[in-house]
This record gives sequence, structure tokens and C-alpha cells, in this order.
Amino acid sequence: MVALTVKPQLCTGCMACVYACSVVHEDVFQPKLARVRIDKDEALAYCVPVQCLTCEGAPCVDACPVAAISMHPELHRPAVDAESCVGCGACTEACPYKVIKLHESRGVAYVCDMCGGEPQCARVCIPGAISVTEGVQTDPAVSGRTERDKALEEIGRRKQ
Amino acid sequence: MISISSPQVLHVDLTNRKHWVETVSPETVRRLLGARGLNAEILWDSVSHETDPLGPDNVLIFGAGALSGTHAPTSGRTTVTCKGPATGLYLKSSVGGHWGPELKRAGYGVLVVHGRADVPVVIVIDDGDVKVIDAGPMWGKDVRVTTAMIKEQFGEGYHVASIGPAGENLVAFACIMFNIYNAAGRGGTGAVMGSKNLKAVAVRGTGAIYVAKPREYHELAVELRHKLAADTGSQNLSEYGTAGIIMTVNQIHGLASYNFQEGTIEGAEKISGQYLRRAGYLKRRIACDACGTGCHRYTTVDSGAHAGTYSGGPEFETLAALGAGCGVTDTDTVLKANELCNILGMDTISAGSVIQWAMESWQRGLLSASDTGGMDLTWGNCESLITLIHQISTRTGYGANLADGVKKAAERLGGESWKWAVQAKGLEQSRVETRLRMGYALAFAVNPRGPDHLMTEVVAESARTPEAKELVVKLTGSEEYATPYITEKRAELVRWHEDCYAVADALGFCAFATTLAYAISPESMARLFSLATGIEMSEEEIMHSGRRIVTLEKCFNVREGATRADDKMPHRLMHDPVKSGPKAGMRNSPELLNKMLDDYYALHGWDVATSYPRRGTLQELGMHDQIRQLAEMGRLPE
Repeated sequence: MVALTVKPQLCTGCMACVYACSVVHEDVFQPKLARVRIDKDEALAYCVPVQCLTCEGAPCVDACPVAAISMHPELHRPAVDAESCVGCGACTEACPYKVIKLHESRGVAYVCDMCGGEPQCARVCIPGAISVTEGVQTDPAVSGRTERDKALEEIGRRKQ
Repeated sequence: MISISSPQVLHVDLTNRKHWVETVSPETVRRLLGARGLNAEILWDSVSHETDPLGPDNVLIFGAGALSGTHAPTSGRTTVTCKGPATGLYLKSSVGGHWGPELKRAGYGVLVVHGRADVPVVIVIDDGDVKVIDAGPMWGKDVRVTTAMIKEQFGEGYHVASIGPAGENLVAFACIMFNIYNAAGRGGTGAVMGSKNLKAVAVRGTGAIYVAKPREYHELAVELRHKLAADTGSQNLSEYGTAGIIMTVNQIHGLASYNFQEGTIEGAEKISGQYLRRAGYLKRRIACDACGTGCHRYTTVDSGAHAGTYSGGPEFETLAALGAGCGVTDTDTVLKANELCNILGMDTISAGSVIQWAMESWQRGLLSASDTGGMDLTWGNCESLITLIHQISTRTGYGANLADGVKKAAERLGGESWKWAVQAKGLEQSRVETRLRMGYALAFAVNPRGPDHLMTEVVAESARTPEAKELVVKLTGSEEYATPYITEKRAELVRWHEDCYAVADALGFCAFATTLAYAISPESMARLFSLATGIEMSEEEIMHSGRRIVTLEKCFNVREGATRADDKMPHRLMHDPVKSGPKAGMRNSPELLNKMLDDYYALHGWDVATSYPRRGTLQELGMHDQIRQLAEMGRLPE
């Protein structure tokens, strides 16, 4: 079993992950459509990769009124059945990170699917801020979700 | 969808507060590629040899790399082009950060700013929407505060290019800062922006950039990303930044100290990249768009008199210019000086150079306390360094004498002070000890913007890596030329590097991927360009377009009145030999320079006596408008 691991302290803000995700899923370079984004505080040079790292308790799965989202059996992350999705946006409201979104032209929800098991973001991340490791995605010790949340709080707190 | 093969140029006229859009044809993109190339032709068409660089008729052009906004490694660089205030000649200045890619996503490959606003303004570009708004209380604020104010007013998603007080006060070496800490550093682009009453350009773009063959492009870009990451030069840059070479340069007596009077300084260790990391100044590494190396430093000073200092940098040039050059090796002071230059919006290289000139004038008794308002300009005076940076940016105190650059400062002071004004064409030289590097010396002498490194760096001539040596053999035919101490074959080395640099700049690539490490060769650049634009170009063809860009820049200077006489080195480097070290005695003598210039002009198809490109040379490049205008001026040799 493999999982995405994020180490925000290594992120240099280069955006390669965002570009790779965009071109591989959408055939164009458009950060708005990528499944990962980089939250930054430019003045303090903080950069934090933000993509689905599978929350405790799957709020998006619970929020879906038509059960179109379920946990992927191998990747242990929410997967959207585009056929069943009615585009209501309840999952986007439930997501604390806004990493599940409604596609602007297809009208259905989309979220990081780890490119089916060979995530391109990790493939292009030279500093190692995003990598693939052995383990279960739902375990914060594997995913780095705690570190990521702390880093996001750092930026948030400094903005106040 | 945004096309790379046929980009849009956004024109903004600040005098009349109007804007319009022009489309660039694929044929023009084939000829001039992007950024620096497209900018050069727009500059040629927009100004005349009578245009005042600080007047409303100058243009300020921002060109994003042709491949900016994609993940081709290091492809996110932007070129700023205008007629330069320091030299009165051609000026291009390159910058990293993330602004250019955002401009592309807003729909524009190039932004051309015309005229002058009646009050300070900010240009705000929000996808297709363009507004010119009053800058109000932003005018007078530093770059960091300005950026925060813009994000507060318009939104976090904006990328900001702005000037600080230095640009507002038309300091001759004021720069434009992008994403706060990235500088279009040299030649005074910030003064041109200030002369237009333009405080900032804020851009937000959410559009889709289209490439012709996305899957192949992705695979090639990823392959090159890993190739660059495997390069040891790239790894060193990641570990220690450009600051990582300070000790190496110091050891070979090439660290320009005390205004190029010495090549080594006691305590250089304290201003090295290794020390920044070991002593805890380095907090994070930053990368420009799409770059896997991340050579930028983010450093802070947490204790002592300068506690609270925080900034991107410092780079090698900054540590040499504001540190060793001024006789300063106190880490805290240099970091403070770096931060100030960044937020006040001032080129660290020129600032350091002019301050060193003042210190040498003090050393030689031409300046005293009565001239400086009581400020002591002894070498190494940390307080005076900081005070002068503040004074220069606001044109106050003794610093006001330095704000127009070292050439004018020496003219003002008189006596023999011109001899230690280390400048040529009106631009202060970068901190490269060219007396020890012949290829660099030639490149500096012929550089249209002045004696500067970020235009044609002939790093390969020192053959420090197997790849560098390989390149020298390829260009000259023999390993015997892989040394910086001879004049033979320098013209061949410089010419290839000129073309490679032009292509790299035009596509958005960084020198650290193309001519310092060689992971992204012209062949790779041609392949990426073809896959992105659908315009098929071979390595020869793309280098030919690079040649066209370089030649266009030369023609601009010919039209301005520059001749062979202007292609020289600063007086000190031509006449004072290196004092110490294994190569003591070397200098960029007129004899050596002339020999290299003869070879260089002949190789380029330019007239050896005047340096003017010949008609046949321009014809071969299809440069008909340049032929017409230069012939009219009697500056077109057959």
C-alpha cells in the first residue's frame, strides 16, 4: 500500500506539482484545475502543498446526498463516481481544505486520485516535499497531515 | 485557451489611460521566440535615438518566457526591456519569481507600458480585465508593504511587480522587484518605472495555457527535471545558493574586495553560503517558477542590532558587492544591507559599487568628513554602509551624490576619482574578477547593457566540470582551450553563449540550467519549444533565432551611437594588474582586449573598425528594418 506524504518544510514553492497535475489530468497548464495547490506567505517564504490527504472521518463521503463518493479500497482516499455525482457541491462545503471541487466545465466533483497509484506531483517534486511512501493514507504519521495543518496554521495566524 | 504560438501583447498607455491588445504571429514567434526577443523588436520600433530614458516616450516592456507557465524546468523567467537610464543604451534585465507565468495565465505574453501617468498609479490585470488605478498611499512605501497593500485591496491571488522609494526617486540603479524578493536588478528599470509614475503592476490570471503535444511535453519536461537535479552544480546551488562559491572565489584571489583593489579578504567565511546555513541564518529555500533547484535563500537575523531582518537572498553578487567589496564581513550587516536594497528597490551590485568608490575616494583623501556630513567612510564601516543605502534611496545626505551611479559620481567629484569608478558604458561592473577570466572579459566588454554577467556568462571556459570541458572542446576543437587565461578562441566561446543565453531568456529558462549546468541544452530547448508551440524548430534554427535577437540588440546600440570605442572594460581592470595570488600580474589590457575584439567582430560578420553589423550579416537574418534605418544613418558597412 502506498500513500502521498507531504513535508511542507521542504517545499520551495516551485509549482511543478501543480503544473504536472494540471497537464496530466486536463491536457492544459491551468493551476485552477489542478488537484493540488500551494498556499504561500511570500513575505515569510512559507510554501505549503495542499491536496487531499484523507481526513479522519471522511466528511466529503458523509456529506454526499447521493452516495457518489466512497473510499477507494487500495488508495484509502475519497473517490468520486462521476456518473452518480449530481454536482450539488455539498462535498465542497464539507471539505475543510477546499481540495474537492466542482469542475467548471464538467460540473462534477473532482479530487486528487493519486493518478491511480503513480502520483505525478511526487514524481516532479525534487525537494521531496511531496513523496510516495509505504503505508496507509489515512494515517497522519504517514501522510504528514499534522505537519501540513501546522504549517497552514502558521500562515493563517501570521495573517491576522 | 491561451496560445503560446500566437501570444497577445497588452499595451497600456499611462498618459491617456487606455489599453489595447496586439496579436503576435507564429512567424514572429519563430523569428524572435518570446520575452527578450519579442521585447527587443518592440523596443526598436517604439523609441528613437533621441528618446530620453526617463521621459514619457521611453517604453517599459515586460515579456514572459515563451514556455513560462509550464513545468519545463526553470522556464518561468521574465525579461524587462527599455532604453536604460544608466547607459542611455539597450537594457534588458531578467527576473525569476512567479509573476511572468501569472501574466501568461491572464492571457498576455508581453506587457508594454507607454507614456507617463499624471499621478502615481498601479496597473491591475485580472484575467482579461485591465485597470489603471491611483496608487494613493502606496507611493512612498517599500516593496514589501506595497505588495501587502495590493493583496489586501485586490486579493491574495495577485502577483506583484513593484518599485520602492529608490525607483520613485529615479535612482539610476533602482530596480523592479517581483514577488517581493526577485529583482530585475541592473541598469535602472526601476527608475524608468518611477519616471512613468507607475508604482506596481499587479496580475492575477486563471486561464489555461495550451501546448500542442501535452503528453510528450510532460514526459520530456519530467526527464529534464531529473537530469538537472542530478547535476552536481545544481545540487550545490540548492544546498548553499549562489553564496556557496564565496570561499572558492576567495581562495583563487578572485573575490573583488575593496573596490577591486584586492582579490581576497580576511573573514570571507562569514559571508559564505555555508556559514549562512551553519550559523542558522538560512531558514528556508525558495524556488522560482517550475525550478527544482531552489537556489534562493530566505534568511533572517534573529539577534543583535539587526534582529528582525528578514528577506530573500543574499546572493553571491550581493555578498561580494555589499560585503567584501566594501571591506565588510559582518554577516548581520550584509543581511541587513541586502534586505534594505530589496525593499527599497535598489540593485545591490551597483549600490555596492558606488559605495566602494566613495570609500576608496575617502581612502585616497578626496573625500573627508566635511563632504560626508561627518560620516566616516573607512573600509568596513558597517554603520556607514547602512546609512548610505538609506540616503541613496531617498537622495538625501551625502548619498544623494551617489544616486546617479558611479560614473556621474566620479564626474561630480573630479580629480582622479574616475580611475576607480569601476564601470563601462555607464554601468557598474558585476563582481566578477575578469582580469582572471579572458572569455568573461570579452563578454563583458561587448555586452550591450554594460560589463555584466547575467547576459553571456562563459562559465565553461574554466572547465570545472566534465560537461564544461566537453562544451569547450565542441566549440573550439581542443581541450587546450579549456582555460580562462588565454585569449584564443574566446570569440567562439562567447558567441555560442550569447546565442544560448538569448534562446534561454526568450523561452524563460535560467542560466543555472543552460550555461552553468548543462542539463537543458539548445537541443532540448528546441524540442520543448516545438512540442509546446507546434512550430517545428531544430537546434540550429533556434540558435539562429538567438543570433537574431543578439544582433537586434547590437543594432539598437549602433542606432544610439555606440561603437567599438564603447566596447571596453573599466579603467582599473584594464590598467591595474591583479596584486596577489597565483595569477598576480594579469589584467584586461587594451592589447589583449583588442585582439579578442578583432576576433569577435570578424566572427560575427561585423565591421572590425566600428563594430557595426555588415549588410550581408543583417540580410542573412532577415533584419530589413534594421538595414533600412542604419543605412540611412550611414552606419551600415557592406
